[in-house]
Amino acid sequence: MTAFARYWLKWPSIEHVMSKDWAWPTAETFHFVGLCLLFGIVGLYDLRMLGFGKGLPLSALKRLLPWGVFGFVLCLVTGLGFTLGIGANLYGDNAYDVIRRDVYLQLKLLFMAIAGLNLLAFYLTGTDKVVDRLGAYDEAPPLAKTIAGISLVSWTAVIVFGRLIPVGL
Amino acid sequence: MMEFLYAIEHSNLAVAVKESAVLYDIPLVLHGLGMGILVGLSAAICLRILGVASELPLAPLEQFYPWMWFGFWVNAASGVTLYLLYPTKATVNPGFYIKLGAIATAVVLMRKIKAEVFGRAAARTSGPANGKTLAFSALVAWMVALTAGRLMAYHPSTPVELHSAFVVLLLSVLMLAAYAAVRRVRAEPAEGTFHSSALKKEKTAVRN
Repeated sequence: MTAFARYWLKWPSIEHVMSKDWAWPTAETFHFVGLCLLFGIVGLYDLRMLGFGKGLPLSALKRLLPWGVFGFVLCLVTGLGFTLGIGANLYGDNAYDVIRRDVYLQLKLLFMAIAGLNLLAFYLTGTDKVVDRLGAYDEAPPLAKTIAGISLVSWTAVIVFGRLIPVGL
Repeated sequence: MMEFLYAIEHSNLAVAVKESAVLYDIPLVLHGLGMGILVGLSAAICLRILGVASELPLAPLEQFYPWMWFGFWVNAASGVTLYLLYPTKATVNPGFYIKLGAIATAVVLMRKIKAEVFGRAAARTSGPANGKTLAFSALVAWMVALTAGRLMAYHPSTPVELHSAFVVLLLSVLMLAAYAAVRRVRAEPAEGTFHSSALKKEKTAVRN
C-alpha cells in the first residue's frame, strides 16, 4: 500500500524540471503571487459578505473572482511542483513520506479541503444566488456570513501552515 | 558597521529567538499574512481601476485602504524583527534593497491612487488614463517586491537569483501577452457571425 502511494506520488518528469536552478525559486515566487491574488480577492468578497465595504454590490464584486481563481490555479500548479517534485529539493525524498511526517503540510491540506467544502456549500445551499440579489448597502443573511467567516479562517490557516511547512520537514 | 551588526545577530536575544521553534516562526508567518493582505487588496483595487469588474463602483473600495495599511504595518514590524535576526545577511544582499525600493514605490503609487483616483482631486485633475497608468505601475512594483523578496533567500548564489529573475520576468510577460490576446479576440467577434452584425447595428445606433 505504501509502495503504491510512493510510486504514484513520485513524478520524475516534474522532478527533472524542478531541479533546474531557476525552477524552485520561480515556482515559489508565483506561489506568492497566486496567494496574494487568491487571499486578496476572495478575502475582499468574504469581507463584503461579512458587512464591511458597504456600497459594493456582491453581484458586481463577483466579477473580480475569476482573478482569485487564477491565483488559486497558480498556487495549485506551483504547489504540485513542490510536492510531486520534492525529490528535486530533498534528494531521494518522496511526497508520501513528506506528507506523513510534516504535520504542517497535513494541516494545510486539511484547511484547503475545508475551504473547498465550504465553497461547495456556498453553491449547493443557493447562498450564491441570495447574495447576488443583495443591494450595494444590504446585509448578507447569517448563513452567508458563516460561509464567509469559514472561508477567511480557512485561507488564513492555509497561509499560516503553508509558511511553516519547511519547519516540519 | 559589520561588527555592530554581527553583535546584534549573535546577541542573547537574537540567538534565543532563532533557537526557539515558536518565537522564530511568528514573524515569518506574520510577514506572509501581511503580504497577502497588503498586496492582495492592492491587486484587487488596481485590477478594478484597470477595468476588471467595471460595473463595480470604485469609490467604496477606498474603505479597504485602512486594511491595506494594517497589512503594511504588520509587515514593517515583522520585517524589522526578521532583519534584526540576520542583519549581516540582509545588509549585504542587493535583493534586500531592491525589495525595499519596490515596496516604497508601490506604497507611494497606492497613495497617489487614493488621492487622484478616489479623492476629490480626481474631479479636477486626472482622467481615467492617469489612474490606469498608476494602477498598472503599482502592480509591477508589487511584482518586483515579491520576486526580490523571494530571491533574497538565495543570495549569494547569484546565477540562481539572476536566472530565476529572468524566468519570472519572461513568464509574467508571456502571461500578460496571453491575457491581452484573449481579450482582443473576445472583444472583436469574427466577421460574418451573428455577433459581428449585432455589434455593427449597436455601433450605428450609438452613432445616431
